[in-house]
Amino acid sequence: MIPLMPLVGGLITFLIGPKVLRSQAHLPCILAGVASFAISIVALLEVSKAAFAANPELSNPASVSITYFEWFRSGDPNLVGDHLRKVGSLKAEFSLRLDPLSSAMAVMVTFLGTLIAVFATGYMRDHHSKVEAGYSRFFACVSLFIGSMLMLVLADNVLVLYAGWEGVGLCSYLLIGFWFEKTSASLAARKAFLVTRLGDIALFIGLALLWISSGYRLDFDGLLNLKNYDSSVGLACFLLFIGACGKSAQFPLHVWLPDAMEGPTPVSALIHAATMVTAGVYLLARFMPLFATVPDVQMVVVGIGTFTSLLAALIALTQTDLKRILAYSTVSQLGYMFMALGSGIKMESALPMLAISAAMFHLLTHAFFKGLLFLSAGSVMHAMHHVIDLRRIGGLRKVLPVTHLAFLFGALALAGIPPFAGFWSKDEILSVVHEASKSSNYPEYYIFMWAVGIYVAFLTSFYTFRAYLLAFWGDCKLPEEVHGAAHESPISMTLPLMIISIFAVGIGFALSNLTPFSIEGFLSKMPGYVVQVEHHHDWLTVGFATGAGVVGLFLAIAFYGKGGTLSEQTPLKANFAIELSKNKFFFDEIYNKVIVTPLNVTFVIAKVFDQYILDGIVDLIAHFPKMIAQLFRPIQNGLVQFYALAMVLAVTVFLIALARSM
Amino acid sequence: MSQLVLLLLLLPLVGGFVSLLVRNVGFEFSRKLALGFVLLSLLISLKITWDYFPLIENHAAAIEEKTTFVPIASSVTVFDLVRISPPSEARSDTGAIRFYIGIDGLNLFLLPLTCILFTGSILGSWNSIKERSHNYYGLLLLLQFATLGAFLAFDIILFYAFFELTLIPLLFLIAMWGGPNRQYASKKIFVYTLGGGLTTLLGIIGLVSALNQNSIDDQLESYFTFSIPEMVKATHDTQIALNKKLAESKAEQNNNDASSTSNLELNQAKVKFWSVTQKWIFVLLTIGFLVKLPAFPLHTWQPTAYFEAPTGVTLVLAGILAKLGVYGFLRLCIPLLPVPAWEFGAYLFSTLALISILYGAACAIVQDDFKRMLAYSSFSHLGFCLLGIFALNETGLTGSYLQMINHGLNVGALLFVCELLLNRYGTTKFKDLQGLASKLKILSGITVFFVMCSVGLPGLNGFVGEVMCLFGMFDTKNPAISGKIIASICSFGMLLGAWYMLSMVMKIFFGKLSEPVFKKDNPVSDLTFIEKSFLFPLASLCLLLGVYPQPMIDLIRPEIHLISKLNNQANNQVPIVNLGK
Amino acid sequence: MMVLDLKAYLVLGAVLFALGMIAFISRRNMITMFLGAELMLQGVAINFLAFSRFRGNLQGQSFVLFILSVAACEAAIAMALIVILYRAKRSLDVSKWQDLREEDLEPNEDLEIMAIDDNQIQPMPILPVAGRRPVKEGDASHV
Repeated sequence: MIPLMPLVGGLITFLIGPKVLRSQAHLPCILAGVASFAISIVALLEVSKAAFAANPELSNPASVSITYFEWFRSGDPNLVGDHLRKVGSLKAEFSLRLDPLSSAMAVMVTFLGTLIAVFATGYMRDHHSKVEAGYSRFFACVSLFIGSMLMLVLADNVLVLYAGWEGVGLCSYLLIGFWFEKTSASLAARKAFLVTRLGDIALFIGLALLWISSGYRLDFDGLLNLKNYDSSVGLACFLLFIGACGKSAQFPLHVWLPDAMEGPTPVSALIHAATMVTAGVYLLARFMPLFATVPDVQMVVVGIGTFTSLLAALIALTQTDLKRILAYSTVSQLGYMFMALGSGIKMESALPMLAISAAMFHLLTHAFFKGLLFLSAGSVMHAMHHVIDLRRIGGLRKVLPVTHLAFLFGALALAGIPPFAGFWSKDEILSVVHEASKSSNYPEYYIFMWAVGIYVAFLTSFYTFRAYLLAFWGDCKLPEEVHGAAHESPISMTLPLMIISIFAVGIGFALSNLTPFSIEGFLSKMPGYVVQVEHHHDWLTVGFATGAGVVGLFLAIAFYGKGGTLSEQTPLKANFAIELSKNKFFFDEIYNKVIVTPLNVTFVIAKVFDQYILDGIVDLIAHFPKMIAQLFRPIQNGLVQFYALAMVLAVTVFLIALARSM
Repeated sequence: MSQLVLLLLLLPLVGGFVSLLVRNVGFEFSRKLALGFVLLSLLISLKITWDYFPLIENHAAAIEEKTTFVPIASSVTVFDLVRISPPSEARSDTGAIRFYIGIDGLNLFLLPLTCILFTGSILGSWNSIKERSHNYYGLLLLLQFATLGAFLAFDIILFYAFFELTLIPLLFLIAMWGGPNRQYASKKIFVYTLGGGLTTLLGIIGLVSALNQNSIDDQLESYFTFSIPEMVKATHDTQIALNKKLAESKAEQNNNDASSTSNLELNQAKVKFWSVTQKWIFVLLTIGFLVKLPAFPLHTWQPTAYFEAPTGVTLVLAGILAKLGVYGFLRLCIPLLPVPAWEFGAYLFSTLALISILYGAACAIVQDDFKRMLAYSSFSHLGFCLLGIFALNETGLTGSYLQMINHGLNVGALLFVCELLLNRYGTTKFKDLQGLASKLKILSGITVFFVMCSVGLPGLNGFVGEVMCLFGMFDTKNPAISGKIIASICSFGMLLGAWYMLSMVMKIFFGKLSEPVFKKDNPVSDLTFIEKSFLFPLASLCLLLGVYPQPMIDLIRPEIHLISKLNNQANNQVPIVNLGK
Repeated sequence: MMVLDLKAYLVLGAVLFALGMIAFISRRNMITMFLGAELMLQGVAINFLAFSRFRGNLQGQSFVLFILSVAACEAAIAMALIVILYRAKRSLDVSKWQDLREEDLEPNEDLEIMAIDDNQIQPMPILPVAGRRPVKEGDASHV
């Protein structure tokens, strides 16, 4: 029911939007968003009621699964159990599942989605409230996106999950390419779709392997409670992880996300910060029971997570485009979440649960504060007529007071300064990694990851405040497109900013272990996990991480406190490292050289092979009869006597042959 | 119902001749005439499909007992065409080539698909065919007749006759109304497919006569028949009897009976002889269908033919005639010759499918023309059909069937779009067209929709078929092939598919508007009513088949189950217990 | 009267046939070639007769009668054709008719033929049209 509404809303908008609704095309989207938000809240309450009224007789109190209809199936519908295992059939039901994990995600998605849609009603107009071309298309896509995302998080069947997964990919494609007249936008859209699709293929193969090793089950209950693990589970998990990497923009598939900033800013906020990119995190959290059994894969996960977070943070240090900084920061924070998830080793310990709750916690807080940052950036863009280069703007705090405050809160939360949201969740992640080092077979590995994590915390705080200070402090600098008439954004944009600000500030504390609403307590009602009873706070980690954040903050103030132009105040001399960071470690170039170009060459070779060699062979074969005929053409010389002679000779030969044979 | 089926078959024939004979009426009249006929046949085919739904209840009940294809009794029309020998007493349908048409789950959905695509073809040619249009539409209707006949036929010779009959209208359609290189293209497709078809004919004759010879097993009744259901039964019985005998004599030998050794040798020789015979027949039989499909390396007629043919014809060619190849595999090759299909066919053809998928996609990416790209994309997509078939399990076969229908719809729609562009701009070259989305909004929107169908986005129709083909291949029980690896590699076809399709969208529809001037006095407009009335229902059909394909799967299931069951039994495949590994 | 055995008749037929064949192959004059062909036909006819005589039935004889009548018809048509051909090329040489060869082949030319001057060819005899008074020499029409 929940995802249906935005999907229908989207469809309605697509069909009648351009003609009937025109400038009111946002209505179905927002209404559907609000409605499904209300339903998800109800669902969340139901789930938590069920979860906390723990009934020992029900094995699975907090998890409800509803099957709506049979999507597609091959084979006998009545096959179950061992018989099914023998024959094998594919049975995809359209079924949804409500449990703590999915309901938390659903609430977050609908809430942020709705707010961002409201924001977009302001953003997608020019300064005279005239709507942009494609206004209804935009809201249709947003609506479809929310629907697919809900389908993804609520799915109880991996194929439904896959459907949602691809659905968000499609919407992301459409929205990145929203301004399709721009070549860069359409290129970025294609890139995003293809890179994530590469991950999707891996995910698909992984799911297929799991389907076989679980005895042809596609629902989560069947998949996650594998009785006998075989070797293919490790491989499948690894493939799922690659899929998650694609969607969540982890190294080596992270290259699409920064380019995806070509889309309108609300889209960046919605898809590329708050919701879609967290799908990978959600997937891994969902499949934690499998991942926890394969510690080798988990080490890859944690390694990739850490590496990505470091890499992206380093790149973010030198970028000058505000949105790109935020994009890299998103990549980096997602790396954090993977770090947490990678620490979920040993199913019999409490670590998996801790890992999920830490990752989900950071996912939620990150969704809020990063959404906030993006929306503030959008507000800046709106006011500055789409100029967002930090070298061209500055000192905006007086011009855009609300946006400034919102950005500040977001930045504080991102930097992990207490008591803002990021502080709580980031510390939790680092604690989990620390914890994992105690039970892993390779403690040094996890300790190293932990140390890198703290270093990244420092970098995060530094680049965030660099961006903040450059944009809002220093002398007031406006780009010439504005003609000096910059003003604060309309209420439809600032209101969501204010609401999300409150959440960005408060959600960290609210969901932490210190309150009854603790996310860990909530998620721990998921069946099948060992729950840690007593909490001990890892003060060492907290201290280090906070310290790192604060140091980063002050360093940034020291370097950029006076605002001013970037080029003069670059703290480090231009050297190799800076160049590397500025050019995003040349990933695009390397990929172009190493993957895209050889592939293209292969394709051209294939074409040439097809057109000339293969077809040439065919034509050659077709020429054979002609060539043979050519040999006999001279015989046909038109002389009657020659023919007669030939006849006589032939008859003679036959006669001789006849005579000999008798 | 049998009158309806007959009517469906004869209507295009009558229409074709009427259209050919009514001259000098101008293209407006002949196109309306053709549209009338084709719409009428569409209505009939829908009615037939609709009537089939309640019948399936009793049909499905006996699903396990079925031993061969059984057309729904009320849909059958049958009479002798050429009687060669008097019917045997036990079986009335032997000894004659008969006109035997009927409907079962396997051809049911192909009939409306055919009619839909021919409607699309006529609507697509609406404004572009103005010269000798009565001939054009007449030939088109004859082509429809031949196609429907091939789908409906239950007699192998009748099937073959219709199968080859499709070529004749096709030859003229391409050679007379095609592009600049049409002579070459039409000659190529004709010779290529005719060559393939004759090979298939050899296979058919070989099979009929092999079944007639009782040298295989003297205890089996010897008769010869052209009826597909009877032939399926006969090959199946032969195989089962041989397998049983072999097993018996093996058991005897274990008891150390002196005479049993020679008995065993004899039976082994018999089995070997029959399997070699089957193998050769299988190879011969498949070649025609491989050409039609087309599959690597027999595909080179396709890009040229698709490109040079008038787009209305390309639409039919890609949407329906290619399906004859898939249909041939499903109806003839696999059920008639399950042993070679299992033993070496799976290996050979899944490899060919793999190459087709990736190679076709690779070629499609670097094409510089929409239509040509679609030709290669079709080549790549039909590779999935082949892949699903040779998974030789229900999942794969179902997937292959769905992929066949879905690909027909998708590629039909995309080629229709292609025709619309040709109509408006006279070109489909990527370098000539750019940024059309800002001018032709609805057209671009619907194109993106069909592109998404085609790249297999879940919830749209392309997904279901591809996924089932791949899952089927992942799960294949055949020890001859490593299904997981093949399926994994083929999955990348989906990536490449997205690559070329999205590149096409990017090049043609995105970016800054730049359009060539084609007809000066005729300003380019968005979709007209006629164009909408074809594309929008098609789009909703795609959506429906993507969201809720299960009713269709239920209807085709008896036949699919039968094919996979015959296969398992013939290959002594008691379903393997597959616990995790 | 000497009684000849079958062999003699057969040899005679064979000789006739061989002579006709040689004439047909080696001569270029169309009429001579035709005569050769007739000779071959008669060789065959003699075979028929011989077998008929020695086997004692009449089938061969009736065949020969048949052959004779066919040969007569044939002669009529063939001569008419030859006349037409002669009129077109003004020559009875069969090697002037090579038009059925493959397009790109050179015609098989013979110096002897080339040497014949068209002017030296005798004009066709001019006959007066039947039923009319002969006109003066010079403006007569060809038959």
